[in-house]
Amino acid sequence: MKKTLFINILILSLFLLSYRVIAQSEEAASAADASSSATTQVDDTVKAFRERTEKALEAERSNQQVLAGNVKSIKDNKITLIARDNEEYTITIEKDLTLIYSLINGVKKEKEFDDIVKDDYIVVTGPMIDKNVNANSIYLEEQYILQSGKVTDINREDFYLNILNVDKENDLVDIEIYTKIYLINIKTLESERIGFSKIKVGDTIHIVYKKSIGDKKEEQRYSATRILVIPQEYFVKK
Amino acid sequence: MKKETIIAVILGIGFGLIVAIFMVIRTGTQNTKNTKTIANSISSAPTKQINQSLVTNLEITSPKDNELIKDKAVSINGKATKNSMIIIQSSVKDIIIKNKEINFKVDMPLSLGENVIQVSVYPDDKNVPFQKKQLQVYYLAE
Repeated sequence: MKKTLFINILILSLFLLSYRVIAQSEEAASAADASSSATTQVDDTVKAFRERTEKALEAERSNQQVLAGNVKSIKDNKITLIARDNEEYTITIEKDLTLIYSLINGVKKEKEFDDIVKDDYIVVTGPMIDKNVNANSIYLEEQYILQSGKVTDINREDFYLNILNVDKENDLVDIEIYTKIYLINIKTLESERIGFSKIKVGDTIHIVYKKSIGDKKEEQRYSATRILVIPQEYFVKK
Repeated sequence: MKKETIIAVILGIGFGLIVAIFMVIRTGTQNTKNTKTIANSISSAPTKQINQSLVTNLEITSPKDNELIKDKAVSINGKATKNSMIIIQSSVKDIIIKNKEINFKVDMPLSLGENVIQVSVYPDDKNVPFQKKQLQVYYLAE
């Protein structure tokens, strides 16, 4: 009887002991699991945050654009710009962050926001959303225009050319002291410097000119910086 | 079967055959007409196709318009009609080339700031019209 009782107590003790050990190890395992899952959660959060930051930076980089045009108006820290596509854009300037330079005459000089005035031609870089640009930098520039057309008349006394441009409009091209004129040799396709007197009615010309700030000339009249002449013989050579 | 019924059936089949033969002949005639039209249009097509095949629309593959350039020069790559006189003009320089192949490539120096570049193509064949394209690139890295 005693023997049977002893065996029963022993079995019960072993059972209780083993249960406790199992319970403890399960607790430890679950604690370890919880700790590792917490670590994983932190890692995931950091990773997601890093990914979001990288995506935001990438989006900002891809939004970084260049825009050029004339200043229409300036109010507070905002410039209204008419771009080459004739659309209006709003440029926001951060007075301590936006860098402003002048590139006039090919020389880069630091400038202030107050140096920008109405009608200035400016190049703006920065992220663009819709038609709003947060300017990283602004460059005051000279606007160069390239035009081409056929010479229809030459005024040799007042040094200007009448041309019919590619849009079938009549332009007046003033030849200034600084205007450089080149003629294409139709055999070699080399260009050589010539004088105004060598230009003939019927020649095709390619003109480079600067649109000056405050230019009071007529809309269809401009002073040529450089002219490239294609002699009419090029078009009748065959 | 009655004699009248047999006659009616025979007449019906005969009428059906006549209509079928008429339709087959008519469809055949229409097909012949269509064939002739197609033949005419094909015979007049080749001259135009040959002319068109010689013309390549001016295309500037690089750089893109409004691109920021990191170097002081840019390589202008494009396509134009073979054997054309191509004038690449900017405020810095005029470059004149003749392209022996459709693809052309020219290195253009850049000035600091905005660079307006115009590519004009004068094909060797006077009947092919002059083409031009303009783009702006920016060199601001100095």
